[in-house]
Amino acid sequence: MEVHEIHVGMADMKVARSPAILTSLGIGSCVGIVLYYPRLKIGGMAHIMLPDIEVVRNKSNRAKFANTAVPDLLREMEQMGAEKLMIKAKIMGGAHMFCFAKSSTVFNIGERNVEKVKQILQELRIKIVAEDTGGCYGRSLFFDLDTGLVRVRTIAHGEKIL
Amino acid sequence: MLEEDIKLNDKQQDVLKEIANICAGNAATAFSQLLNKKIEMNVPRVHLLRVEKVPEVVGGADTLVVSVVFQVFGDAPGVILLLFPQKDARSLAAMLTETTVDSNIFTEMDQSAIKEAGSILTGAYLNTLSSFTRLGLIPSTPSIVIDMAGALVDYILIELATVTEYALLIDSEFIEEDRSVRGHFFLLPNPGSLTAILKAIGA
Repeated sequence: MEVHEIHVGMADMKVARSPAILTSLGIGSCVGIVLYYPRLKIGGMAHIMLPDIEVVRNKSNRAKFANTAVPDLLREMEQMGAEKLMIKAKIMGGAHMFCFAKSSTVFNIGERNVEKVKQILQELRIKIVAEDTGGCYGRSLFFDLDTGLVRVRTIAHGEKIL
Repeated sequence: MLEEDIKLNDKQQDVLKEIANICAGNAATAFSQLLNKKIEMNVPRVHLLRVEKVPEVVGGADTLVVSVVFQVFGDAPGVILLLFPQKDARSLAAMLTETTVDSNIFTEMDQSAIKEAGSILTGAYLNTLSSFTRLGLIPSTPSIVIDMAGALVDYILIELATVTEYALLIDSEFIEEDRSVRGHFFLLPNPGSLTAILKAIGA
């Protein structure tokens, strides 16, 4: 039987329990964060666009920013019974879509996203167990809550299991 | 509310569509001369939507696209995005380079030819827009990206996302029937630029 797929859009986040696959398609400079609590097979995925909610005017969508999406994701998982101590994180994305455009601040947003996500996870004392970031290509993520593994698909850079 | 701020009324929508129609018309003519083929064009569509919905409009987040991107500088800055499905970009490259390659690989030559076609379309479009609005508009050099539509779009919109929740897309579709090449031409004015354009034409 086909496992239920839950789609996580751009600037969106979802939490679910196995059996389910959380997917996020076409991640460029955005960052996909997955958190997993193995004992109850609870997982969460966020697809953030920007590092910091403090610097923008419109703060209506907390799932868009690293420093709000990650804590929200954790809270939702804890409400479902996950224990923070055992939660592990994986991060993917943060690409630099135009390889030739050298890293001016405007163009290395992917890098800044990744840095911010790492900083937030560290503050929350959540360990990053796998990472596939940077490069200049898009990624699609398929997070299987049964195994906790994330399949990372790309167009020209193969497929990885994290 | 910001939502109210940038809502377009019917008249503004119509005016934008009409301008897009004329700009795209000239672009289609230029394209047609380049290819020496008849180019059809659909009535442009104007989308005003949440930034995070844009990947759906351009064909789905993980669809493979070949895209030529220009930044627009001057009085009404923004981004121009030309999108071709892979197969169509393949045919376009074959037409331009007069080859009949069936592989899925885009050589330097193919990419360069597609960029050049993009430059011609963009030049014609912006010239028309410029003479209409009397705004100075200058395109950057083209960049080509062959990747998932979502990855491309998030990169383009990410800066926009810091200032607004919404993106305006003016979508013109070009069709070459013979080899069936379809491409989308998107103009994404920055938030301030929309006001500048509307003001320039008195809408």
